[in-house]
Amino acid sequence: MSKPSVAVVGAAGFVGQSVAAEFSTHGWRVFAVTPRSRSFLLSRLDVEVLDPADVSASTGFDLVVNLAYPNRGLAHHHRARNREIVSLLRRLLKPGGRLLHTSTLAVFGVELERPVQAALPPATRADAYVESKSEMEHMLARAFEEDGSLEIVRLGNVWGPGSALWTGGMLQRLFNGSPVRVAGQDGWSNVTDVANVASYLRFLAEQDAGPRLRFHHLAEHSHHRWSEFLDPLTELAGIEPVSVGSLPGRPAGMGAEIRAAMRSAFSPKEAGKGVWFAKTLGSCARSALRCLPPRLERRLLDRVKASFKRSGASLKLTTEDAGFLRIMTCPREFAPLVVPGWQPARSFPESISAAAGWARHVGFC
Amino acid sequence: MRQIGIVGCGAVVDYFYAKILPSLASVRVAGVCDRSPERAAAAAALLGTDVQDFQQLAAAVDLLIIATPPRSHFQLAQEAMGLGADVFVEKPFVTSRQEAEALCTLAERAGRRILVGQFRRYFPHLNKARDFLATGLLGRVTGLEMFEGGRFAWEAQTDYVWKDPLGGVLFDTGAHTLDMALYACALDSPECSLASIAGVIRDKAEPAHEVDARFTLRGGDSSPIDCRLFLSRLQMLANRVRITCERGTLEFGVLQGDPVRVRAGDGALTISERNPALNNLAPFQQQLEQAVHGEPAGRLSGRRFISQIGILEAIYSHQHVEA
Repeated sequence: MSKPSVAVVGAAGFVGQSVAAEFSTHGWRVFAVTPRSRSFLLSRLDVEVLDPADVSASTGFDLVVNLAYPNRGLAHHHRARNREIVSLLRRLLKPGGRLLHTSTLAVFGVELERPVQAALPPATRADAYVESKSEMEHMLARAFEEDGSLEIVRLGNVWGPGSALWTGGMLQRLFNGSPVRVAGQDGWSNVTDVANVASYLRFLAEQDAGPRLRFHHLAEHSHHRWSEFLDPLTELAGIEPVSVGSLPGRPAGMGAEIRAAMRSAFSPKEAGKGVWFAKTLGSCARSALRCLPPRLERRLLDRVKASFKRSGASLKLTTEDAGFLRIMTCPREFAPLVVPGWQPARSFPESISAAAGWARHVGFC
Repeated sequence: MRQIGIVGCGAVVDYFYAKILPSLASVRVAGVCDRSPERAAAAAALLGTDVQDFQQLAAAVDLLIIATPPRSHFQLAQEAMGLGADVFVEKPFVTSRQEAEALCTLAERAGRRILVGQFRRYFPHLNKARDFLATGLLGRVTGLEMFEGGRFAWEAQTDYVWKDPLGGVLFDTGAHTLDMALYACALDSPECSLASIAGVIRDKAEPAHEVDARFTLRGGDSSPIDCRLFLSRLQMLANRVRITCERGTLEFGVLQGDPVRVRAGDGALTISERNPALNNLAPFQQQLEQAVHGEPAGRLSGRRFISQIGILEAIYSHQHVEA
């Protein structure tokens, strides 16, 4: 009996490799959709590589798992990149086929400031990453509303061995002396272990397809606070974590953002930074840039970048620090919404243990 | 006005040379050369110079920069010195200790300079680590652990990173990481030698994208130094060098602006704070300026890299276990 096939788009990434390996070791024939120039990243896996350039309308899979998203290039180009991904997915999927798309809890805001719901997120101006992920959900819903089934699996913060953003990222911040917590504010972690992401997607694939559009929220360790992850890492690293007393609030709404930028008016460079990284104003700036002819866009961006470099960063916390700490102090839990019958492959203690073992092996302690 | 030429017009030209050369005083780019006419033409346009053939270029310049894949370094460097040019070879220097020694000897006989581009030697924090170790406060070095890894994102212009056996992570990344450790400990002299290899684990045969090697070095005083060199293009590693000494450890990150931490007994000290404002262009420029105008400390001199290449060569040739 021939193996069932699945196309995994974005298989060369951190989560993608786990997903590809999960399907492969459980009897699936896995086609890793990734440029051939990156196929060497999959050398340890039993997968067949399919370059996106070779995908035509006749390629046709019954099941496609999408992990790809725009993670390179300028933020205001991400909409075009999303369209390319949707176009690829349409070519990959047979009529009536099934698409499992991984999205993120951040479609409801980095701090879950918008109500979490099992529905498409409201279209709104937001941080670049949030906008890009939300737009993708809407694009896919429109693209596949007539044919096939679309399951959107929103992932919590993906933790585990090899996680450059969370496990490795936290350990790196400890070593760098960057702040990792805000005093008195221990946020909901909303974590999902990478092994559980792979396990859930495979479980889902092996169930019958659900309604034409269905949502899943995967954060099986969401109820654990960040300190339960950070404390073991701190002990492992033997480094005293750096805390900040408080986190500056973000201006809420365009009016507040403009007032905040105007307070920086004595330093036009700081004002520019304030606009670019603001939620609403930054989104408007990106929309404006998309309308410019390429040459003018390039000239403007070079000037902006040069001014950022000269500014000498008078912020006490870097933008990166502030973004990280906002997630560390998340005041809301991203409660799991999963199909019945699935059990996490890795429990919380196992997840901490696996992460610690990896950290030791790769030199963090 | 110093005349320089570049052979090999890959990504390093776009990301570094094109940004730095226009601002270097008293330097003129006399020409560029590449096997690919398209890459050569693009580089020439970027640098405001002409495409030339290799022999023409080497004969016309004071300093020839060789930025081709490592397999060609020995032959090009040898030929360029024969045509009268000093040579600046981008890392890795060459791919065998024998080639490294031969080029250095040739350079000395011909009265030419042979330099190696390892710009991380100009990272401020690395030099702080080196200076601290040189004080002797921590005692003799007894162990080196070197980790550098992350999912590969470099826009290679050729396919040598996944097709050429010498394009694996060992020579590509390892030349940087190992060099930082040897430089910090002042072990970058031909007297430092590889005593034995305990084992090498790779993801696959070369070009391997993950290498975990354990080996023993002997320093200038013949004392053993237990080493681990773990490199990866497949996953994030700690990206630091940990130097164990008789009385404590010193750790530094491998990226520009990373911190340097010292631990001894129950205490810990940061001797260099992280500085995210720094970028790679400044040390690259400093290196290039010294290469062009002369660098008295010999930091880039070919002889300083013989032991590094010997270690990499031995690991490369060692039979491995697949992960």
